[in-house]
Amino acid sequence: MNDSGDAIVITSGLTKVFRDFWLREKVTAVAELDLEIRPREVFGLLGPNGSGKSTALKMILGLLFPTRGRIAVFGRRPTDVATKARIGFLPEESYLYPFLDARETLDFYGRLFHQNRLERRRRVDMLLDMVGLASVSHRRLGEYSKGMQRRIGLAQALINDPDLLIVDEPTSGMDPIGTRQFKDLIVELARRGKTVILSSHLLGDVEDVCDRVCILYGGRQQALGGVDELLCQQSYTQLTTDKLDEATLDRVGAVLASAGRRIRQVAAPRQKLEDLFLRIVKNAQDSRVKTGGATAGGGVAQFLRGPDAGDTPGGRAVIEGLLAAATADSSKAQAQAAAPAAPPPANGPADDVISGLVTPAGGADQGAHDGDAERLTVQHRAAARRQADRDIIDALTGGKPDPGARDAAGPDQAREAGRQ
Amino acid sequence: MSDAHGIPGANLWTVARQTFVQCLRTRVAAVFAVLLIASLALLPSLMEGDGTLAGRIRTFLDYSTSAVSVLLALSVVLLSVGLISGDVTGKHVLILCTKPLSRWQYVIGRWLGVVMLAGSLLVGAYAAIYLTAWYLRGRSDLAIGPRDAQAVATEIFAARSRTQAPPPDVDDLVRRQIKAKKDQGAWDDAVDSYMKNYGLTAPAAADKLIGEMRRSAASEAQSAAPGKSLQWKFKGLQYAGEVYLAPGILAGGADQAGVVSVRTLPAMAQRLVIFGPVWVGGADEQDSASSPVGAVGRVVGLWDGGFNAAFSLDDIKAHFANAPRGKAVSVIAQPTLQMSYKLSGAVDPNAPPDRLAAWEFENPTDHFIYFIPPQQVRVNQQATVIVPTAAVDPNGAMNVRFINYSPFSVTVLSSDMSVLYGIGGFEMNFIKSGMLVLMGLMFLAAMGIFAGSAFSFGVGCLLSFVLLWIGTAMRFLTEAISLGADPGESLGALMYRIAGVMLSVMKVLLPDLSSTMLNNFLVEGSRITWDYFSWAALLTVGVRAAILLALACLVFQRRELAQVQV
Repeated sequence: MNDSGDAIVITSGLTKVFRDFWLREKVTAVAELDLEIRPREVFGLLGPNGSGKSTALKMILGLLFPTRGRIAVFGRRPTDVATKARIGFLPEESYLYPFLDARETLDFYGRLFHQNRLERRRRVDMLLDMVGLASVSHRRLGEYSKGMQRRIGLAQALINDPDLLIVDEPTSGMDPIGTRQFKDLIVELARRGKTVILSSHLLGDVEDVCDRVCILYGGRQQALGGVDELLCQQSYTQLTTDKLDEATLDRVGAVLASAGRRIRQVAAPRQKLEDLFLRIVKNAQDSRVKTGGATAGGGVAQFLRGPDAGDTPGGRAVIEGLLAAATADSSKAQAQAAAPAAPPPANGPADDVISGLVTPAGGADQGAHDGDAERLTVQHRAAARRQADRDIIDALTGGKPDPGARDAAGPDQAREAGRQ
Repeated sequence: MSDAHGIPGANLWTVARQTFVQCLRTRVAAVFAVLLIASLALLPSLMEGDGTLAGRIRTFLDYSTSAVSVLLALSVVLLSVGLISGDVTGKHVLILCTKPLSRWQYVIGRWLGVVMLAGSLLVGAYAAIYLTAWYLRGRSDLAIGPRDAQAVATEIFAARSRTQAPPPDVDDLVRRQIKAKKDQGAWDDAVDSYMKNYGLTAPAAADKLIGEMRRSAASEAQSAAPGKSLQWKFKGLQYAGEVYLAPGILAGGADQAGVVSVRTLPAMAQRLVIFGPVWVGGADEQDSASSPVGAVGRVVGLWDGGFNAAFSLDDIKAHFANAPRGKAVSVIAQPTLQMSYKLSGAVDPNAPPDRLAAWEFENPTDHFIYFIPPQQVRVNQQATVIVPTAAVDPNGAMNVRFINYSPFSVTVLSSDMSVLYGIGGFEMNFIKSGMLVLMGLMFLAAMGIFAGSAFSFGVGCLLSFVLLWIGTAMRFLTEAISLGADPGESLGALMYRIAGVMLSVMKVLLPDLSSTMLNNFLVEGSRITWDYFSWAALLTVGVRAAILLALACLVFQRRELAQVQV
């Protein structure tokens, strides 16, 4: 057991060559891949189709044997049955038996983990509620839509409360609610100290939930590092505030010009389509519109949650919470931006500057709503002027660390917040 | 995490149960049930056999058990090949094999599931066959006379042991023939001609010549010219020793020929044989009706619910002289045994198809003789005579003589002749017969699982069906190859030798499915001995199926389940 310090998965020089019937080398799917996936991290494997993501995952799972190189999962060979009791796997498609219904499917996989009947029933109920299939749990999987099959596939991957969750193209076929719920689940599992390996070519999914990513192309590792580290454009600074009129913009421009900066872009931030969709669905559910498909699902199953998570709320309350969280994500930036509009603490001349910048827009009274904020992007000229930059930021924020800075920094704020 | 792992039996059961459910859900069982019900509903009315009730039941048992075996064999092969190959092509294994489930557990669990399904279907089918057979047995209106009903009781609803007639001992005769030829100086010439004709070495030519002389002598020793007889000495006839006791009523007093009529239970009448012994006690006032002591007579007539028996004059005086009609008596019959035989003869267009054949059975100890007078018997067809066990001495020995009353020569091959006698219950035999079929199905399931774990569905099915055919036709192939075998050096001879070697390998790998899956024990009423049953279980399941399953586990263990075809 190496839960605490050692890497969960280690690959060294991992290579996979596919051969034809005559054993001639045809494709090198993975070449010399060195990975070290640590406990409690969400690790993303990124790459276009055919880049070797799935092949690498399947070698980690013991479904393919490496041509060269070594793999250790929990310090053991990937084919070791004992390690598999700690793994959950969601393949790229839901390869489940179509003649079983959802409850039978989960019960079957629960039996393989030697869970007793009561425990199986408890987990099956929770998982079905979590993935929103409780109302259709007696329909055979062959009748399920692709998205519903993905949901039940996710449930089977979690039946054993795995220490390591491996998901291959997890959100393909899922509707936005399922996608959002899946991402929240990954965040929750990571908060509980689980390790997650996620393979996808949907960059948004990876960006939202992953701590580190490895980008593959042609079977070879092209980049490896933390998401923030790889994505953060160190030469730019982005501020989000209430909507500014032309005069205020001119004044901001002037302030920036005095520091040798210029405004690169002025735009109203757009709401994410995901958030809009979730809100519409919520309204429909509030109106009790009937559906024969999956419902939005409940919260994360209790047995998957941390000891501090409390009782599992009812499905409807949970989805409302989920939807509220989803809309809150998009409005969080605005809300955070609105906060300085309240009477700022008097910290010196900078207070005047910031007051002057925001008051003419009447932002505090207007509240945070779509299209009311504008984004300013300033170019960071040179590292030698970093101190001057800090002064400007201090001037704009009243001399305190901006509580919204983390929100503006990236979309994985929910995960960060969750971990704290 | 509280999940445990490492209980192999639990995983095996989980996979087996899943397999069972899968087969039920995919409607294989439903199709089988429909076909079976249709067969059982139609067969009794369509199959009349030779027109007798015994023939009807025998034909029903033959066709219904064969239909069940064939249907189940096909179902099991298709299912077992499709389960694992289907999981691989459908990629279900990608999820299964990432659970704490060993691959061998998956393979064996799949096999167990198929066996469970096959066993369930077999139990249902055999229960239906058993009930239908009992229903037919109760249709006494279909029986043609008491002999027919007797055949049903003693030849079908029975478990009989079979003792084959001893082959003729021709060693002395052949030895004398060889000596005579050598004395005449003709032996070396004969060997030389064989060497030239067949391209053999001298020892091989001599062996071939001696073999033909033996066959010729054996054929001669088993042929009876008109008016001549053939003899056999059976040993080891250990029939079940129960006698049958039933109440009776004197239906007629002793006539001048010393014949007494007795009305008794139909079941008792079915156990008597013409010219066989019967004991009638209690006719005299001094006898008790329940006493087995009485006079022994010979059955001279059987009628529905009774018989006529001839007694010696002394017995008539002692037991029946004063017995009134309607007097209650007790009737005792011995068990009987059946001798199955076939008269062989060249088909002569000028000769009738029947021969007049008489039989004599002698107890070598007390010299009791049971004689069956000449009767017409069709050549080249299996026939049966019923013999009282009085003809068998306490050591199980019996002398049998065949007398040819026809004007043509008749051959009775010892291989076509056997004595059958009741030794166990029908129900146990029925269960054993079903178990033999199940063993064959277990082997077929193992074969299908192996094929499915190593190959695609199409290739696996092709391989399995070829092996199924070889296993079923093993006897035919053996005979065909041995008949065509030629010790020469020609290409044809070489091909036969190669085929012989391949068949020998197949005999090791495959069970003789015709003797397990398509066994005729029920049809013949032959008892399945525990020795035979145990060996069949050991070789079919314990060795052959186990080897195939071990191979399947090995192959599947080494298989890359997510292999990409390039």
